[in-house]
Order: sequence, then structure tokens, then C-alpha cells
Amino acid sequence: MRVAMMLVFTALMLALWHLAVRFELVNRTFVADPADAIAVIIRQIGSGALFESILATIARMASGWLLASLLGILIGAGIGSSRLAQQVFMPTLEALRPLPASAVIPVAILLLGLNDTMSIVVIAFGSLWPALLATIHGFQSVPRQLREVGTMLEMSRLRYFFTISLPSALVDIIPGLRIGLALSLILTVVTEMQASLRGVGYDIFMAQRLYRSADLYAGLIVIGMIGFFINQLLLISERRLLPWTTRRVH
Amino acid sequence: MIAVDHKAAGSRGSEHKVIETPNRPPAVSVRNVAMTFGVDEKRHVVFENISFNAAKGEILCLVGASGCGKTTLLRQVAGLQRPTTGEILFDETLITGPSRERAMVFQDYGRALLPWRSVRSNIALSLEGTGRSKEEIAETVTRLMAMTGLSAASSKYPSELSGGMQQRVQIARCIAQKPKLLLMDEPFGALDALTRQSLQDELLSIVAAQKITVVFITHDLEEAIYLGDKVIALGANPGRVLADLTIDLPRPRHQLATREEPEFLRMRHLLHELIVGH
Amino acid sequence: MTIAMRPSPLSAIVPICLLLGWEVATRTGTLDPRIFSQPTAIVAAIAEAARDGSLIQATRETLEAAVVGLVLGFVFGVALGILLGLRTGLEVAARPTTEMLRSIPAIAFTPLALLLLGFGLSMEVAIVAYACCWPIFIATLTAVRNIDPRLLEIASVLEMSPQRRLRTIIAPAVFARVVVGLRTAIAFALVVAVTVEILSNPRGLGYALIVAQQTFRPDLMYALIVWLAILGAIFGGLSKLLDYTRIGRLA
Repeated sequence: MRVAMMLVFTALMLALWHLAVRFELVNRTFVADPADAIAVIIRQIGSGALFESILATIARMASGWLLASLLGILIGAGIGSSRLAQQVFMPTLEALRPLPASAVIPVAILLLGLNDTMSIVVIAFGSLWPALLATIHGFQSVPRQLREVGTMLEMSRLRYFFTISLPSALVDIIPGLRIGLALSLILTVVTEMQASLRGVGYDIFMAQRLYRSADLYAGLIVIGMIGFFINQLLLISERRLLPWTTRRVH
Repeated sequence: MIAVDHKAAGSRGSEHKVIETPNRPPAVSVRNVAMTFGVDEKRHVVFENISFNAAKGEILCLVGASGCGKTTLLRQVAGLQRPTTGEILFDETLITGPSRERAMVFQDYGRALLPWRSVRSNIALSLEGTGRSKEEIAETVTRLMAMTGLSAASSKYPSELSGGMQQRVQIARCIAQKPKLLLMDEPFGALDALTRQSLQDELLSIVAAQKITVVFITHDLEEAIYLGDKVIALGANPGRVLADLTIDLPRPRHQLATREEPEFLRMRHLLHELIVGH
Repeated sequence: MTIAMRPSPLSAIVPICLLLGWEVATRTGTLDPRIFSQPTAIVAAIAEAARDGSLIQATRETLEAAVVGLVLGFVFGVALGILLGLRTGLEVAARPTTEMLRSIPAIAFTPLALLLLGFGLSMEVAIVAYACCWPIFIATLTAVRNIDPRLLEIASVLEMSPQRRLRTIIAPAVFARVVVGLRTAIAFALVVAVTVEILSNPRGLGYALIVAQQTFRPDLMYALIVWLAILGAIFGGLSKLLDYTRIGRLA
């Protein structure tokens, strides 16, 4: 029933869009027929071009995000578990945090040039913040009672880290990583457009330059799909990794 | 929360009566302890002149209105805090920090369990890193779960359990570390009356079987008398000892019969006068 | 997520060391001053840009797009959220469409907006509005969903008109949650506006930034970045003013 309703509504929207283009209610140069956009996607699947673009985009995004997540968790765990480190670093981090991630693009271009390294550095910088701040927050907010359970059982620092503080912080870390991934997709698209790097973002950019609106809409659909599936994948792994947060009876 | 009471009732025969031997040193000895903040005019006294002893295997209940510093006092016995002056001895040794010999059952059970661990592995926590083999730990945990009525909930997460069951997990975890002293901070305060009664009886039978000394905090006068061999009544502002009472009620205790004994009622009146009466 | 700041003299160590190290390294040539510039030169550049009016002009252009886009996104997000929140069937049916649209990063629409609207304020506003409407839509939708059904029953029993129902029941119940969505949207607005300017729109701070880079003015580039961080902090402060509890007490 739900699925049928979804299908009907989606088909209806596509039909309206299609008819609006067909009867020239909108300008064809600017608004492509959805049928044409889908035809473009199918053609690109056939030629392998789509696969190549998607792979390039995902590889870039994943490298930046993984780098950011790794650094974010390591540094965040260090800062979050030490009051001294918080006093030393937090105000600086707080001051840097409001900087829009895209503002470092010119700096990165100046330092590294228009290439993949620049793109990955920008992606990593942008998605570092949510990972880092979420990790710090997670380690800061280990409940007092759990800390005292560790003390009462005379746990070593290492055992305490792995049995108490890290799992406790995961509840904050994982959503932070998810936000970081959403940001890394955005920055991937931006840097691809800015530096003309092969990928879905660049395809969209070129489609506009060449006034090929069907290609442009096809690119948007593809980027939407990537975003959707990646978010779903992370939600599923979040449920897998934090099973105790979803199983609740009382 | 049904089908628990009879289990506790069945094991009640194993309860023992503590025999007071004046020559034996006490398990816990609190000597002229005070807790204060600030100096001179700004000096704030949480409590002072606190002295009492708990004999080995005894259940000592600290009862008092809020603000008398009973939780702070318990945390000092645990070694989580240090008194400003005075000393607390355990087995004739000065307490300077936490130790695995002393286990603490926290008041808010919801936050004292590891939410990412199942019941079984929450209990196992206190056995990990002690050089025991996996099989040994599993076997001990299974036995403890049977003793505390948790067997059926073995693989559940704390968030899936009722308050009473969560508190059972915390007690089982503390018992697992084989403590000589069990410290309990209003452990049953947030539970409903029926659950509280069954947990009281379960606690009595476990403690009797394991011969553990217990220091138990409560604001419920009846609970203190029902559980205790000894009740220390604390007054507030500043916290101080109002009375050190020995409870001369037969064991095993019974939820109906014990509470109807003249001695129980006499103690209840006495404590009520002391703590609420003025 | 907020992390409490602990003011402490230790806090000054990192920024002072960074700035001093930076200044010394660029002066001695360890760091190329044509890429890194000197902190003192950066301060001079920001003062100059402020004096000749270019900084204020660019800031006004960026803020204009951010604020107008935020307002439009807010209106659209709330309207859509209330509509789909009250019509459960419609919301379920529309879910693949909304999820799909929501998954497209707003920035990816830049070429399309350029095609449809050309360079200028309107295309930037459109993209900012698109980015801002989603968190507000989601917040409104959840808020409407979580209205106590008993309140709606009361409305039916009292035979309230739809307008009255909206004003007396739905709006107050939804308000606090929508504010949370708004806070996220405020954070998006500035970032998206600047990014669109960096990418293609020849106006505002983002464009000034990219021009500074391309004309080899690193001092001005860093000055603009510092200014953007300050603006970002102001936006963050504004969104904190909308604190859930304070608004909750007013409502």
C-alpha cells in the first residue's frame, strides 16, 4: 500500500514535469524532459562514462572523509579525555569552527594547485570539524557514574579507554561522522567544479557550459542518488554499530 | 516483575545472625570525620563529628533527611572522595582511594550500567582483566544471573529492562567482584513498593550467603530498620550522628511479620522522633 | 552541539605560538610570503579593505543573499512541513520525491540556477533557500507529527476552523522544534552563499576571496578568510540567541 502510493506519486510528478516540457510551459533549453534525462543516464551507463564519474567522485569523497574521520577521532579522543588539552586547544578550535569550509579552497589552490590532492585536503578539512567536535563532545560527556565504575574497578587507563570511554563516546562520534560524510559530498562537488576534476560534479558543470540541460538534470539525479544511498548506508551501519540505542522497551 | 518473591523467600533460610564479638576489630571504622568547604566566615560544614563502626558481615544503614551528606559520606568510604578531617578505616587500614574490595551500587542504575553491553557482559565487566579465563567468567556470571533472577534477560541491553531489573544487574556486577564491603546509595529509592520489597529480600539473602559487610543509605526509615543490624540516624545542617541504634529483630526477616513486631514499631517511632519529629 | 569554553591563560598559548611562528617564518623566508603572507600584512589588508569600502560592499552582497535565501527557505520549509505533516498519506507518497531532492547537495544546483536565472542575486538566493528549506522542513514535519493527538481531538471537539486550529494548536506546539531547524538553517545560509560566490557568482565575499587568490594577493585572501570566520561566529551567535529554552519560555 505504502509502496503503491509512493510509486503513484512519483510517477505523477514525473508525468507533470514531462507534460510541462512537452507542452512548452517551460523553456526546453533550461528545463529538460525527465525522459531525456533518464535517457542520458541510460546512455552513460552503456558507455561506462557514468560508472567512471561516479567512481571518481566516490573515491575522492571517501578518501577525504576517511582521512578526516581518522584524524578527528584520534585528535578528538586526545583532547576530549584531557582537561588540560581542552583548556589549551578548545578556544582555538572554537574560533576556527565558524569558518565556512569552502573558504579554504583558494588557500588550498594556492598551496597545492588544481588537482586531486587539493580536493582531498579541502574535503578532509571540511569534514574534520563534525568528526572532531563530536568526538571531543563524546569523550567529555562520559557519565560520571561510568567513570566511577571504572575507578571502583581500578581499571588501567588503557582498559578504561577501550571498555568505558570509547564505547560511550561512539554515540556522539558516529552521527558526527555521518554529518561529515554529507559535507564531504558537498565539498567533492564544489572542488570538482572549481578545479575541473573528473567526476559527477564536473559533469554537471560541463553540461551547463554546453547548454545540455538533459545532461545537467541527469547529473543532478545521479548526485542525489549517491547522496541518498550513502546516507542510507551510514544509517544502517549506525544501527548496526549502536544496537543498544534503537532497542528500547521502556 | 512477578515470580521473584518466592525465589528470595526460598533462600531465606540461609540467612545468618551476626554475633557481636567486642574483641574483633570492625570492618568499617569511621572516626571523627568531617566535610567542610571554605575557611573562616565562609566555612560551610556539610557534616562533622561523624563516628561509627560496622562489624564484619553486618548491614549498617545510614538514614537521614536530604542535606545531611550521607551520599558524600558513602563516597568517602568508597574512596572516591577524601574527608576534610578525620579518618575512615577498612580492615584496620586507612582508606586512601577506591579498591576492588569495596563495591559501590549507585543510586541511578540507569546511568551506572554500560548501555552498549548486554546484561551478561555488564556483569562480566567486574571480572575482566583479573586474569580469570573466559570460561571461568562465563560460569560465574551465569551463576550470579541465576541468583539475581536475571537468567532470562541475559542478552538484553539495560535500556530494555525495567528499573528493578537494571538495579539487579548492578548488584550482580558488584557481587561478581567478590567485595568484602558493599556500599549502596539509596539503591531502591526510585523503585515501586513491590519491586523494592522483593529486592530487599533478595539483597538480604545474597549478603547473608556471601557474608559481605554492607553500608546502605536510605531515606526510608522502615527500609533501614527492616534491612539493618544497625541504623545510624543522621541529622542535617550540619550533618551529624543523632543516634546509633542496634536493631534487635530476628532473622530471617519477613516483609509482614517483621514489620509488625513491637520492636520494629518502637524503632520506627524512635527514628521518626529523631529525624522528622523536630 | 555546544562545547563549553573554559577561559584560561593556557588558551592563549596556541594562537600566540601560531601567529608568532607564522610571522617569524614568513619574515625569515622559511614560509614563502607570496603564499602565506604575514599576519601583520593580513591585518593591514583587512584595514585597507574596510577603509576603501570594498569589504563592506562585498559583505553586504553576501549577507543580502544569505538573509533573503534564509527567509524564503524558512517560509517554504515551514509551509511544506505543515502541509505534509498534517497529511500523513501525502507525506508517505511524496517521500521518495522529497528524499531524492533532499539528497542533492544544494551547491550541485549552481549550474542549473545559473542556466535558469543567470549571474546575480536571484540565483544565489535560490540556492541558499534550497539549502535552508530542508532542515526547517524536517523540523516542522517532525514537530507536526509529534503534536499530542489529544490536542487535535480537542480541536475537533471544539469544531475549530482550520485557521483557528493552526493558530491556537499547531503553531505553539510546533514552534520550539522549528527553532532548532532554523538554527541549522542559519548555519547553512552563510556557508552556501559564500560557496556559490566562490564557484561562479561574481559578487560578494566568496568572489572577492577567489579574485584575491587569482590576483596573487594572499594578504587580502587571508584577511577575507579571517573576516568570514568572524561573520560565521556572528551567525553562530545569532543562532544561539534563538536558544530552544529561551524561545520556549517566551512561547
